[in-house]
Amino acid sequence: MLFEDVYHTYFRQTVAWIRALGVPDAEIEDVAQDVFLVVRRKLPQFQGGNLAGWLYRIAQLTVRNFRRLAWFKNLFSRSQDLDAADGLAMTATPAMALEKKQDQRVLIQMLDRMTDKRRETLVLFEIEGYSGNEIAALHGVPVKTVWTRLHHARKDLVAMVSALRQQRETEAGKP
Amino acid sequence: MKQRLIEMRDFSDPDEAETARLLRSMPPTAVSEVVERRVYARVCAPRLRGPRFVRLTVLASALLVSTTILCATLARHWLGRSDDRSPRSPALSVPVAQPKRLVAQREPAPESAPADSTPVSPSATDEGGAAATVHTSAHRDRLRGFAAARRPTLVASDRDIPREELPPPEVAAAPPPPEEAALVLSALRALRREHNPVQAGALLQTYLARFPKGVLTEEALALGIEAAVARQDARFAAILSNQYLGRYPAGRFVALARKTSSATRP
Repeated sequence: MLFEDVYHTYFRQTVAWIRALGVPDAEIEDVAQDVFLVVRRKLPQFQGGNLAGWLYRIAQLTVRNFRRLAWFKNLFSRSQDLDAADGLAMTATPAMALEKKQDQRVLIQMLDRMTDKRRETLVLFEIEGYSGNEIAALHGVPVKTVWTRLHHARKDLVAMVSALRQQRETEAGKP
Repeated sequence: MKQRLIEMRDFSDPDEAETARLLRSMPPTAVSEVVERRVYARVCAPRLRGPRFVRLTVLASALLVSTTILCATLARHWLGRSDDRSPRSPALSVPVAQPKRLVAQREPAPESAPADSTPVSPSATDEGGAAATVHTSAHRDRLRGFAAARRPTLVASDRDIPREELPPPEVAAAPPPPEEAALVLSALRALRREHNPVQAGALLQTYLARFPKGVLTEEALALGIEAAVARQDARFAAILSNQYLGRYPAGRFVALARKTSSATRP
């Protein structure tokens, strides 16, 4: 199996996984590079089987290392809030763009408060469009486990949205 | 097959509708060809990235070198400031070996007023037996011309010397005039720090010519011997040694003078 084939087949999926694993958009490219550096080094040792699951595991470990160093990196780099404002010009009007960015920011904050497994399952299913079977293959779990995680993830997210809505209503009701 | 929230349109719960709206605000990942090619080029490019221990070793070495340079710079800066504060006294902080009874055998003559400690060549310890280590701080103070002189501070074996043999404090308290001290100190600096025995010898000759009975004559003679030995002028070293032994037969640098004299004897 050639590295080049693996790379071109799985690069886009790997980027989606990395995003689902909670890496900010500004860092995804660097993390993807690190993932494929590991893949290139370890590919001769791959014994066949679930290649997507093997790549997903490498992505998980790379993201874990990335998170360990994230606090140190953030000391010397721009904050995420500034990065999130970069895409404002891509929508129809500035007001809509701002609203969309605000929604994205809120969603990212809520996803960060979830457990890793629930967040990954929710993002892969709801945002990236993966099927339950695909997620099960990636995580190496039964499909029913995926549905259970998705159910709990949705429940958590709805609860957080509800809490936020109540908070906003309370603030709006104050004089 | 479960339906995705972002595809649902009718919600009975407003919170679910809001959740779906939030999820719709986040588009799926889109990766451009440019990014894909760029990452591929970086992954496949040869990298200067060795095993972890190599990187750690390089990092540790760099840290060590930079720390050493920093310490050396600070030390040099600090020593420079120390020298600036006492321009007439070069660093004499190295403990100097002295003969055991150095204070008791000192000449009472005013021109050979006992100095607390002076630079002595390491060979002076040969005859000294149990050498006494003398703090040079008192000597430094004396050379600075402090009005109130102190007794020499004997560190190692001052207990061996009977108290009645020690010179009275007023004898040890005579500070040299600044001009004399400046000449001898310049010679000392030239000899010990600049390693220029020729200049040191010239300065000492100037001193001995101008102050033949100066307070620091004994030190000047000893330094002159040392300077002559350093510039391999055996004949002049022998002359100075004999001169020293003639003037100070029980002086503090007798060992040095005798050794030099015997070594240069044909």
